[in-house]
Amino acid sequence: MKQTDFQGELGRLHGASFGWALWCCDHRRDEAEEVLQTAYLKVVEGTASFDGNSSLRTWFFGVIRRTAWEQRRRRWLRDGILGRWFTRQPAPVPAPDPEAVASASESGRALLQALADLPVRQREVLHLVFYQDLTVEEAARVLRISLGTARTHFARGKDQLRRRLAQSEEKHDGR
Amino acid sequence: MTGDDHKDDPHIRADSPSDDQLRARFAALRREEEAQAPEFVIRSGVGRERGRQRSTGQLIAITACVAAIAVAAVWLHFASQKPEPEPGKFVASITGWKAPTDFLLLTPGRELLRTVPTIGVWHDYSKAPTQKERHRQAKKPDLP
Repeated sequence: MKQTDFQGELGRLHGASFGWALWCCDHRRDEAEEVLQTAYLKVVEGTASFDGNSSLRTWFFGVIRRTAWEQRRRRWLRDGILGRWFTRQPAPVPAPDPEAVASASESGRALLQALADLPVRQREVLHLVFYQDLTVEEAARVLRISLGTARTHFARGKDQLRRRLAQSEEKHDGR
Repeated sequence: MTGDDHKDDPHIRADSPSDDQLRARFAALRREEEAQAPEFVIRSGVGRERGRQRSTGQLIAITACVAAIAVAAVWLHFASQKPEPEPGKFVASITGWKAPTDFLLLTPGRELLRTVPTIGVWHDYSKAPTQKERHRQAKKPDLP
């Protein structure tokens, strides 16, 4: 694939990629933008090369996920260890961007809050399947886990999410 | 996997959202989030800036490692040097050395085990050996 075609494809995927980057960064917008830019650069500079074994979308989502993980690790090292060493203060716990949560609609906010309580893996599988319209198999490929594991996370995640959504609706109705 | 799997689960309410409803909720959220997505631009400056930051960090780390290795090498160099014996100072040989606890081996009655008893000669083994005897017995035979 030519570089221009490649960039065109990435442009078409941009919205979905940003959504995935947001989720990989716990809805911290600035961080998501930086992760996405770094992922684009990896592709443009050839650090991450597409082998054609999966769809471009699956592959690029994997690149974003890995980049977010690297950034998280770097931040943990910088703020967690070095920061604590020099300032002797506990590292701040990363929290979702309140602006992002506030700007979501009521239904979206309820969904985000329900998802926030789920384990990371379940949340990721649910996001990839429901939000990104990938199959469970493709989600497993993005997350580099077996299909069986992805199915288990998907099933458990769905049950947990339904319970939490039902509870939040119950609370909302009771008010 | 179908959207009706959860209907058999007694812990989940009957009015819990189905797969399609969940999908619709996620789709609504996606529309909201994609509307806020920044413009598609690949900023190569970001990478250079990050690269510069990383290279500064790497430089500091490498300098610290080199300094640590140099200090360790100097310390090892001095630690591995054996102290030279002072001229004229007597160094005891292992054959001439005597342990300070050797006297503990001089137990009363040990002559009984070392000598052949003779008939008609009385020897009081319960007596403690004299200073001379002790010295003679304590003296070890010279090694060849």
